[in-house]
Amino acid sequence: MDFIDRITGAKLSRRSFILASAAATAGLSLTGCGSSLTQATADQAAGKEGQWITAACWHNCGGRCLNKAYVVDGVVIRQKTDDTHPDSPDYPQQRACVRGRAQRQQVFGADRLKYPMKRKNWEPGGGKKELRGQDEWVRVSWDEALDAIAGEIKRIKTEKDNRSLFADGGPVSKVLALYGGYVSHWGTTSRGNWTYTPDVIGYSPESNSGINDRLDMRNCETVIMFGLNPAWSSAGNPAYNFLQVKKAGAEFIAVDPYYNDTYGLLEADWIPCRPVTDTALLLGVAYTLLEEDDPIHNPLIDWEFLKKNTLGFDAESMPEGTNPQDNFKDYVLGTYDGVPKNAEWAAEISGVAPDRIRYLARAMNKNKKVAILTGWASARTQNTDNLPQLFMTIGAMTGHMGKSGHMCGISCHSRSSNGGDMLVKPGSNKLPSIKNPVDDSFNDTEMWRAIVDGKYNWTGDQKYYKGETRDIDIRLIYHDSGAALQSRDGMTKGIEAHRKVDFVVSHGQFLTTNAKYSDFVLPVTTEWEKIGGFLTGNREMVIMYSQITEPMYECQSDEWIARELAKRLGIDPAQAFPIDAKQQFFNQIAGATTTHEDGKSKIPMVTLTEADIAEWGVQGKPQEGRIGLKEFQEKGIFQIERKPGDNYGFIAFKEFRDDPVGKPRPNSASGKMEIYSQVLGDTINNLGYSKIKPIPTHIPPVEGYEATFKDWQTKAKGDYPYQVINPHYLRRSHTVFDNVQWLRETWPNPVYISTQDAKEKGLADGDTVLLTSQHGKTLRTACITDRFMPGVIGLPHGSWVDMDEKTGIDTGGADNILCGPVSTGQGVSGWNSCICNMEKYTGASLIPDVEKPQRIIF
Amino acid sequence: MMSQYGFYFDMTSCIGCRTCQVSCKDKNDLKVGTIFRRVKAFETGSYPQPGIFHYSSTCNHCESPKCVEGCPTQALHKLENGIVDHDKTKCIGCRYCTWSCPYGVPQFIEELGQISKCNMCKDLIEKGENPVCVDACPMRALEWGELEDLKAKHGDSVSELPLLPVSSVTKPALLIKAKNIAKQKGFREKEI
Amino acid sequence: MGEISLLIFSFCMQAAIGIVFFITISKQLYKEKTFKTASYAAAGLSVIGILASLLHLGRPMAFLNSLSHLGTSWLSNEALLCGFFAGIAVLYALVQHFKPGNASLDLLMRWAGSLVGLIAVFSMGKLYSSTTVPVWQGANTFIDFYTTTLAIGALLFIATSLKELHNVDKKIYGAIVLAAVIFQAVSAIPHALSLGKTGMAAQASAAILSGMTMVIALKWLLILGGTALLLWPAKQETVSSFKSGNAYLACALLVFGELIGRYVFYAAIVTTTIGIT
Ligand SMILES: Nc1nc2c(c(=O)[nH]1)N[C@H]1C(S)=C(S)[C@@H](COP(=O)(O)OP(=O)(O)OC[C@H]3O[C@@H](n4cnc5c(=O)[nH]c(N)nc54)[C@H](O)[C@@H]3O)O[C@H]1N2
Ligand SMILES: Nc1nc2c(c(=O)[nH]1)N[C@H]1C(S)=C(S)[C@@H](COP(=O)(O)OP(=O)(O)OC[C@H]3O[C@@H](n4cnc5c(=O)[nH]c(N)nc54)[C@H](O)[C@@H]3O)O[C@H]1N2
Ligand code: SF4
Ligand code: SF4
Ligand code: SF4
Ligand code: SF4
Ligand code: SF4
Ligand SMILES: [Mo]
Repeated sequence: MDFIDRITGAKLSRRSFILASAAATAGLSLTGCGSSLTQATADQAAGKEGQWITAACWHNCGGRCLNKAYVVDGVVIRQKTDDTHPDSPDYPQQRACVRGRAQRQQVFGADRLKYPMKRKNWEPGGGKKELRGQDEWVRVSWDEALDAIAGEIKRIKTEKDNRSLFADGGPVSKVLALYGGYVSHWGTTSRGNWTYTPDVIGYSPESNSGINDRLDMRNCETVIMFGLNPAWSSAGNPAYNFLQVKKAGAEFIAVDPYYNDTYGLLEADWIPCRPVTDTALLLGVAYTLLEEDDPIHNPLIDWEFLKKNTLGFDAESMPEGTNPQDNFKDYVLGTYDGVPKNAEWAAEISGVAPDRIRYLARAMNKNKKVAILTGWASARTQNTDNLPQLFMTIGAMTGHMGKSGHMCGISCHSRSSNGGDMLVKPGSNKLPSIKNPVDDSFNDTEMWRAIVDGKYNWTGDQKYYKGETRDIDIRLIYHDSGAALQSRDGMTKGIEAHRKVDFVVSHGQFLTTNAKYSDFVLPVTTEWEKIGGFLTGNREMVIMYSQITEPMYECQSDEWIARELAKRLGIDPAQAFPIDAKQQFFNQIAGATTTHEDGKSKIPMVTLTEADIAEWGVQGKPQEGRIGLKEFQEKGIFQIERKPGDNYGFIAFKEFRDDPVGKPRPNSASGKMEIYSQVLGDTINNLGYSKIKPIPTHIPPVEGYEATFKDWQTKAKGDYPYQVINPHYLRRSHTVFDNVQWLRETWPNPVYISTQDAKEKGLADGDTVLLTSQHGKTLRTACITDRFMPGVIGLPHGSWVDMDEKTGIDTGGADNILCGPVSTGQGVSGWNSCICNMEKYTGASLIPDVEKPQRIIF
Repeated sequence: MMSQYGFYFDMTSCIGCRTCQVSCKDKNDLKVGTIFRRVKAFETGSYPQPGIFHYSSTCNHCESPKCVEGCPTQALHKLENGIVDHDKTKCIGCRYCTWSCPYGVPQFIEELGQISKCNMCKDLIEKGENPVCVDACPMRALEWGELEDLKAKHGDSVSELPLLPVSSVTKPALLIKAKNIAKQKGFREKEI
Repeated sequence: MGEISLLIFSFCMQAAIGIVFFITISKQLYKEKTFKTASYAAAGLSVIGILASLLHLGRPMAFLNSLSHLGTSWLSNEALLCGFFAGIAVLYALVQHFKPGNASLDLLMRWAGSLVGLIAVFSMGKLYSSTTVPVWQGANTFIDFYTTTLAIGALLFIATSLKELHNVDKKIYGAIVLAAVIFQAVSAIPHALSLGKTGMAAQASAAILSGMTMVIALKWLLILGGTALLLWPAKQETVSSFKSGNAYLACALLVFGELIGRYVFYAAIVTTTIGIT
């Protein structure tokens, strides 16, 4: 071992570094304290000259920032963030978040998967399948692993057919497609009911085209936020952008069950509302607008916009061939059903007092510059297929669309706070797309049930066809991307599915939950070990990252594994991967575009010379762009310099507002914004999950506030009296980073419980709490807070499951142990609609996550 | 003339993301358990009008540092530019500084048998760069510089808060733009 | 608890200083007696104390550095004074053992040891009371240290010199122990009460202390019980007042009680940083 070298500082090579980290791993397995390579490496490196290299931060985190690694002799000594230009609010640096700053802890973590591993009791055909997730691991060679995997794929295909192979959709899936196909899955993970609804009603199908750009937002007088938390869920600049809006004088109102840090920053006026009740609340707002609008004395409603640009608002504007009584306005007023959707009605459901609902409606005053913003969280709920349509309706009623300082739409994920087309873009890698001959595809909410029960509702792989029940018999689960077992609803069922099939394989950088419940795990490289690539996020910049280190241990890329399996399955790898990784990367560079100063035309981004092409040894043509290849590589970022009044601004729906006839909406049957959408109603009702109306109506969610009662009339509470939401937590990007000790130390991941509920249950800060839903049980340490609405529990999203097989209780606080597979509407994963019971746990208290042993298997 | 560098913390811009905390760990290669810059969350008020503020703290490089005064080895010492630095060759790990600093800054590190603490990223400052935590903050809530300049620039800042020890003991080189709720008592520390 | 070595150090050191102090006083009264055993005990305890203090250091081998800040750092001062005292105590024991009879050297060393020792106790008090641990601030730490020095010193002195003192009236020692212990007890009350009123750290310390009520009660039970036992009138002896069995038991009880007290002293550490770290 190179310990002596390490201590004496005699030499610091990448090899000794890896050996040292492996050695530290062995001695570390229980305490697992953070970086295994601290002081020694830093001291040794001090004095030696290193190099700053742009390092990928590639996760689905809602942000995108510049990270750089200081590399000395192949070892990363420390990191930094964007310092490529002076920082200003108009032209901000792309500063990394807390997770990005811990990226090297992840890449060089003691818990990296190092070698192909096999489950000890695995045999062809399964072999003690119930031991998946608990068995010991045995190291095997790449050849042994690949041969066994190819053997099982062949066997299953021969004995059954391609409809028994289930895969996630990474590079290996391409090979499986060439091998006759595989069963896939689809879902509405991020956008919930914004996935399909906006696409057919004439609203904004893209998350980035519904609101104005960040500089225009500074013109707003009022910003109303429905479930937004960029401080956590759009790390990077969005919270900073909103701070500029505040500094420019805007006032903020927040509608949310949780007074989060974004609202704390913006000193928002908080209107606590129950989860999954935004529809009811907004109907109460619509009623109030109708009730209080007086075109002369109190003009609240933009009747002109409603008339010219929308369909179905009232009886007069209903499309032909429909019953005029089915219009939105009469539903709201209760003209025919006898139930006025007034503030009092909405208050009972949403928990917002009637006068606060009226206050909210008045704040949307059409004569003020108002932004009505929503995240996706409120629609990542059951039975809210009409919610996006209702947002559109409210925006149309109040006229906050298509004008500077007015907007109504999505502010979420990487486009939070900043609407508009991408100003800069990488090119395509020019890999061919491969068609999957098998058309079977599970909706995420039924995926595990389909595998366990052998039948499912087929709707055409996110084509929203009329549903049809199909039999299916899955024998193989192949995970070559994503974190499905951890990240999709109903993990308990998922584990059952993983223990049922003949064979489970996972690629992984760590022993993720997918990997943990597999027969074979194959160690894959991180982006730091690859040749380089592009990352996109907000519209103004694109990041080009470079290789930081050689592949760790025996790690290989997903693509390499796919090629190797292809060979063993008798398929020419070149069909899927005709060009190598370097050419793929170069194609993206050559095809990258930026926007001309005129704000319109797209031009090449990177200047390429014959010399560049020769040096890279790739195919390509020289071109004139805005930045030289070397400079780009060194900087790692291409960012548009913005200033007020430039041509890069964006006003959502401006053309449509100004000229609804000449510039109709491309994505609705009528070309208008459809407050009554026959297509929406028919499509959803045909899918076979649950029914909706063509206009926005309140439908009690399967697991919503109403379901917390045994008897709604007498308000007697049922067995699951609490609602649960899953805030996207800053320790992680979904499930990623959850294993990083620095982040575990920094972000302890408690469960948030309101002071009032805690009092009733006799809970105090630090108590271990047992949460029980119809779908599973999980434990977490309590944080008692006044920032949660009573009746609502906040269980952070993405924590790794840690199942106690004896009690059947998860000690890891995994959200999807609690959230069940409930299919409604467009097949939405209704994560923020979950109900549960809560009690003080009488067993052993949890230890902090940072003190738990890491998942280290070699 | 002696100079005195200091930190400015704009609490009104801070979202408690703890990027400063982790970037500092990265710069100083700190293991789990050792934290030089630490962010804590505090709640105020009660539902439905709660408040939240964060406090990002590190060594204040005090003008009258009690840690320096009490250190028996002179391992802790004040530099010309005001930085309170720690000399590893001198420190015997008596931990007295962990009792004498009113801000709990020095941290004993078992493996080294010594304490350690923020040195204001002295090495970077000498190269004309900012301390890492300052350049890391995504909200631009941290500033660093000559204390007098910071004072002149941020007239509305304070050096004392109910949650902090009285500043007269050590005269911290620290300026805080405080949220109003942080100026009142009745705050509760919370995990986030 | 991480401060066990400091506990041993401060306790042994103070005990040793107390013993030397009582040797000095007693030699003034009973010139013919040597108090050899007591001087060995003092030397032994001071050596144990010094060793324990080294164990507390993260880098014991570099302990000499601790003398680099004399005058300013009370820890530097304490290190010097304690080292100096321990040196005298050991030398004194050696002289007693190998070269008894040199009266002037004996006198010099005793008095020097007592003086240095008592100043060392002051430096210890100063060391703790000038930290940012409110529960240590103020006169209470000094009172605690000096009364412990006197009470434990007197008791250990008696316990190690029972034979030599068999025909001596030991009431005076008993009275000193009683006075010290009562003073300690009486001063502890206002200190405890004042804690609850000052800052957050003091309040946190008060909370720790109130969580240790039983332990603190035990401490006083042992200390006061030990003292009472010491003063229990003995029947068979006339001139001297203690029964030897009682004296040993009293000594054990008191030592144990004061050790618990010192444990509580360290356990209540809460610095003013409570809000931030
Ligand atoms: N209960 C609940 N569930 C939720 C949500 C919620 O709010 N509540 N949110 C949902 C949302 S919005 C989303 S988008 C989904 C996200 O669901 P997923 O996309 O499944 O989650 P990630 O954790 O991002 O998964 C990425 C995985 O890829 C791995 N990985 C990274 N790089 C590579 C690579 O190069 N090769 C391979 N093979 N693997 C790699 C990572 O280690 C990680 O395991 O989760 C959803 N799940
Ligand atoms: N740190 C971190 N950031 C992330 C991710 C992550 O895993 N971790 N994931 C990324 C991905 S892929 C996505 S899709 C985005 C998701 O981003 P978001 O959907 O914005 O994130 P959430 O934290 O689920 O919810 C944001 C806010 O909505 C509130 N909320 C929840 N339910 C309701 C409701 O029914 N009504 C109302 N009005 N408010 C509600 C929550 O309390 C919270 O304050 O985050 C991205 N960013
Ligand atoms: S926001 Fe995302 S890209 Fe930016 S540093 Fe954090 S994890 Fe990385
Ligand atoms: S990085 Fe900035 S915003 Fe984040 S916790 Fe630190 S000071 Fe606050
Ligand atoms: S904050 Fe503490 S450690 Fe830093 S200089 Fe002041 S007294 Fe010393
Ligand atoms: S631990 Fe080191 S720095 Fe701290 S007081 Fe002791 S010698 Fe000084
Ligand atoms: S100045 Fe440097 S050492 Fe000090 S807190 Fe900031 S990053 Fe850490
Ligand atoms: Mo997402």
